[in-house]
Amino acid sequence: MMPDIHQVGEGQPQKEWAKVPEAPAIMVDHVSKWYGQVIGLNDVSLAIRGGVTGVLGMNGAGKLTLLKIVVGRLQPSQGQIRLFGTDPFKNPAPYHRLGYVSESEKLYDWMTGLDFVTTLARLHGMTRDEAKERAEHVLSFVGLADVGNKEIGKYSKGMRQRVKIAHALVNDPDLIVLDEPLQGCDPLARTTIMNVIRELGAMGKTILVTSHILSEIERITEQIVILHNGRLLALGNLHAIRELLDHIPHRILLRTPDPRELGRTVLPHPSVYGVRFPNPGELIIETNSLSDVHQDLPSLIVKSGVKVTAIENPDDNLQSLLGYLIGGRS
Amino acid sequence: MSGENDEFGLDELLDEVSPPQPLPEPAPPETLPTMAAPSEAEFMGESGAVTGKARMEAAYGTGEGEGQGMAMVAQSATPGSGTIFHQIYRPWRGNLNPRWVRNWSILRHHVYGLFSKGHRPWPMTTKLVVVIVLFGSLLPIISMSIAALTGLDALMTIYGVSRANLWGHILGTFHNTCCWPLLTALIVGGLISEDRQFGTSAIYFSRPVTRTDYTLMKYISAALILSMIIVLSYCAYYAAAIILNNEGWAYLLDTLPFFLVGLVVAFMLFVTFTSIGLALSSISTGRFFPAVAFLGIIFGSRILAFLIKLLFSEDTLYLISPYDNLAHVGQWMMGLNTTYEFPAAWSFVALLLMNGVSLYILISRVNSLEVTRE
Amino acid sequence: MTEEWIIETHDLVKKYGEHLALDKVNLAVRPGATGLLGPNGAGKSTLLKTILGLIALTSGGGKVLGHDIATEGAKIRQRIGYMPEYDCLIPDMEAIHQVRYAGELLGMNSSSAVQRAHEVLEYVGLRDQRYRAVSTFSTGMEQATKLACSLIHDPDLLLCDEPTNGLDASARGFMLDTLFQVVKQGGRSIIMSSHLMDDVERICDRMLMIHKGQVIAQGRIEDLKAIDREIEISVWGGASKIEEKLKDMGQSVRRTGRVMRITRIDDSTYGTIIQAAAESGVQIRKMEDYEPSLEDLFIVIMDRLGYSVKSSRDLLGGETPAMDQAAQLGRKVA
Repeated sequence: MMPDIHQVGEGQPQKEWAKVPEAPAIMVDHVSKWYGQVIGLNDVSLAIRGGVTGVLGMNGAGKLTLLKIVVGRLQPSQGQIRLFGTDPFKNPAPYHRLGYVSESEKLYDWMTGLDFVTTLARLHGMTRDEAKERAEHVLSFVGLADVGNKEIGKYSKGMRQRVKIAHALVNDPDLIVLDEPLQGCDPLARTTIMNVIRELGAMGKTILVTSHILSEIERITEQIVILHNGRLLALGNLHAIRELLDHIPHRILLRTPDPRELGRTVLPHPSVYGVRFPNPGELIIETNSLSDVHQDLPSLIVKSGVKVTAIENPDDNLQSLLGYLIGGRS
Repeated sequence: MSGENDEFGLDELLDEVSPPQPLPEPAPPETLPTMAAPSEAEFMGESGAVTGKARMEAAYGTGEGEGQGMAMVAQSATPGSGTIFHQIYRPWRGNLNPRWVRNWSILRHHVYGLFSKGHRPWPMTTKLVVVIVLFGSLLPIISMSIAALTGLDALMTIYGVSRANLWGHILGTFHNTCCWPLLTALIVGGLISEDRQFGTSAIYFSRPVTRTDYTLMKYISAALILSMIIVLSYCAYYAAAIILNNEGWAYLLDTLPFFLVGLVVAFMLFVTFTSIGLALSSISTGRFFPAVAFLGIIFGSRILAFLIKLLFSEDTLYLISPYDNLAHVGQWMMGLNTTYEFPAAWSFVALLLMNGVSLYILISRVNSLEVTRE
Repeated sequence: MTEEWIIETHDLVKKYGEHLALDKVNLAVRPGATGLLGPNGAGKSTLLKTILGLIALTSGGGKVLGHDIATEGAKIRQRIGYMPEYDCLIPDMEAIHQVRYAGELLGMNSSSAVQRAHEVLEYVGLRDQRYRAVSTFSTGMEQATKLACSLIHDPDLLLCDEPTNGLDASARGFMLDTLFQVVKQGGRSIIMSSHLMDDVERICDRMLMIHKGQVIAQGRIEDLKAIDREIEISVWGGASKIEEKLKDMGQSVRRTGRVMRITRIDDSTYGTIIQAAAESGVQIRKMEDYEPSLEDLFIVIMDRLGYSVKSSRDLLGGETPAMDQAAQLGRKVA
């Protein structure tokens, strides 16, 4: 899963920078970061190649440190990082393909939204007209077209957030890092931004996103990175991670008018080790392999002839996954 | 509508709310075209059902849907252990005291903060300066004690109670340039500006504290702290002179009028300084700017007037200096020879003007102070 | 509290110069938990300040907790707890003293304020940290302190402006539980503004939505939601197989990734879905009647007002040659 860091990209300054073919967009190799005595990130290695990845963890788990290292705001104390196969600390070219929404609320309050985005677009090497055109386009996309000429200082919280997203998107980046992009946005802006993140991810761009709201992450992506106390705890598809935790029994909740009959049909299945009837009309199947049971469940239901009106996995979501992974040792 | 009858609700929703215009003019509800009778089914039919654009993508909806995901877990997990706590909401039905108790708590918050924890956290530097200034203003007492102990009459004439010395204790160059402005700058600097900076104005204005109460109590707190230092040291000086020289009633009758006039002058001093300081505090955020600006006004105006006087032999410009106005009015009230060439009434008017302008700025700025952080 | 309406207003108008912040707002809020919704800049903060009796209205009037908004602001504020969105704590002060001072400003005796401050801080989950200065607190603890400050006098109505903003998952859960307990156990009323519809739905049974200074919806959330006749399934391994299968069986299916919505014709639809899954060998990880959320409601209402959710097409549709050039330029410059 993890290519050897020395095989991709030399990190030597090149005149014409290009992405190293086949290199993951982000490669972090045994990276640690200390702040004095405090450890921010502890020996983290990961490679991210396309798509949207949610970075999760409690406050102080090292999310911000990881993001800051990726966008070049911090240099790792130990270990190396490659963006598109290039060492950004030797050749900063990859940063031209990067968009970053920081968690900071601070913006140039005296600038208008349009000026701000235009200026940042010009930093990417666009001409004045191109930058203006592009800035107007991005601003109208985030729904700020009508207030583009107002000063940022007069914006509400959600509008400031959207200015930040606009400036991150202005250079059409391939790698987008978003730290709490949805904070303070109303549901409309929220859904819009989530849609965009997901669609940009589907287009092959690499997106890192953090959020405190787990259901938001669930709606954006299944691919997650879980950090805890500076360590990488888990990485990958969230359901697959849950399957790996096979010492915690999985539960499947079925709603049916005749739970006992269905229970009898299901119980002989090799992966099922228990059925319970918590409430009338409900059946809980306990298993250690969710996949196996689910694979055969439809045919078992058909065989039993019982009507089933709902199927749920009560503990297969991000909330309970985080609870299982870090709940006991925060 | 099921359950309870909300007079509002669906009607509101069904009413055609005018699309965003610069200044929407909503017609009275009766004249609005109501699309349908307000019932739930109609609401659905009208909107074509709430189809939930948002939630379509929940949880599983983000992958391709074809493959099975892969993952790695760095550490084996421990079973989740939650915390159980028992939250019990305890009601409280005590009486809330009237206005003056609230105001008293604001005053106490500021004044007690100088001495004890749990009230306004004055910075350490401020507390230190307060102590140093207090010591500095007690210097004449020390000199007097030395005079009394050693029996040096010459020293006693320099430091003993006299019109000039009583005036000088409040308005003399040493006290008035070294002690009081510094003290005022540090005490008054952050009083309002920090409320603006930290958003703590919300804790006052979201409670039954009016802006008048707020301004008044801040003013009194600042003035009280200043007066404690100034008046305390002044009284101590006078008392010490009487005790050290074993003076009798005759002396008291002689000097008491001057002493009382001195008190009035002291009152004018800390009122003026508090007004200017609080006005500066109300137009800024943070405690640094008001402090520096206050010192700048006191010293800057004085230095400017002094230079003008040196160059052009014209001292009317001393009218812009709060320090000199106070000194001038003080000299006149004490019956000393004034060191200024224009009448003392001018200085008095200038003082009134300064106070007036400062109070105006203060009141208008506090009125426009946002409830939450700006 | 026996009043039927805790807030009742008629034709509230507030103008800031030309800008109309509140436009003929007619409110009728019952006791209980009410969510205050609206897009950014809709006038939520202005409305909360109006309820606090802090704003000189241009016209209109009303009553909060039986007191007149225009004239009895101080009485209203004695019975309301307000938790602002932004920081409002003195950084170097200890939490316990902060809360006590908040109580004293309401007119509590200092002895009962101290006792009550301990009680309230414990209630919001700050037990051991109450002697620490607020500047050392995490966001969650700061929010809890703010809540304690607003709960100290056991208010009849609690106004919370974005109470869960910036909190991580566990702190957010705790905050919501705490607020829920205030309503459920304490029997107090809450008006809570939030952008997180999940939060509102978890606590509130009523909602109040404003936009551009106007009330555009208010009432019970349940009443406002439509009953949708769709079944949502989430599948695992071969979503297109089951989609085809279901379509062959004559069902109407909408699909996004792994999630599908199937129009529910009658109870046999469930059987059909499971049949299809059995035949195509696809796992159904989740199957339930789809219930529209408050967020759906919000979006539908906003949609009617002419605001819609955008997608990346809007972003990329206008892709200009200039941008491509710039991107190339960026590479060259580097």
